[in-house]
Amino acid sequence: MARRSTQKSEFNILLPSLALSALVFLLAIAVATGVRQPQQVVVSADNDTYLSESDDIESLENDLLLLESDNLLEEQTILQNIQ
Amino acid sequence: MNKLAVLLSIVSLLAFTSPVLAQSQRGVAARQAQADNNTNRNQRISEVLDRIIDKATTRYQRYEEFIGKLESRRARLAETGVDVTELDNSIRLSKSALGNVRGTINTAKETFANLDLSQNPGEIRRQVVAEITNIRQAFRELHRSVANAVAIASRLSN
Repeated sequence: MARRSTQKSEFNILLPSLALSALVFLLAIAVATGVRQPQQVVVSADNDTYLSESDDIESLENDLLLLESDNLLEEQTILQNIQ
Repeated sequence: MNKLAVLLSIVSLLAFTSPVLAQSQRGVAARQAQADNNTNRNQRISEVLDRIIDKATTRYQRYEEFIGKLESRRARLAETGVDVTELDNSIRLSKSALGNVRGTINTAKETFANLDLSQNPGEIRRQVVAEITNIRQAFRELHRSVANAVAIASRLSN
């Protein structure tokens, strides 16, 4: 009877620690799940906003390359579709 | 005896007509399957053609936006007192090429909409390829013209 009472008091002492551990564990799972969520794609092939907003020469030249790449990619896709 | 003759006549009639009826039913089923296949095939072709037009339109819009940026650059150069006549001519050519792209896309859209999908696949392919070739050629010319405009803007900016 005395042993059972001791076990109960030990459990009561450990209870807050166990609750805290469980909380930390749940938080860790929540954070990990949040990190693993796929990031939003900012630029996609179908998005017509991939051109930069700047009209600097460097931006224009970079955008020109993107447009050319897009053309080549599209031509290839079409060729595959109609074969 | 007469009854027996009638019975034999009915049995022989059934024996002759059953294979014909079965064959006829098989023919109907085969025609239905062929019609379903054609419907699916036509639907797939229509989807592919719609996608081609959509993608070309999106690319057209990107070039339109890009030419807008070129005009913005031209305005900034003009503000600093640079002679932008050459750039103006180049932008004008780019806009003309852009209009040409729009025209080829519209023509292709119309051709695809009126395409007789029941005709020979080779003929469908020939018409589709011809329209795609026109669009591709128009985009190449457009790209050359905007690349030239960027080269001029770059030279004037230095």
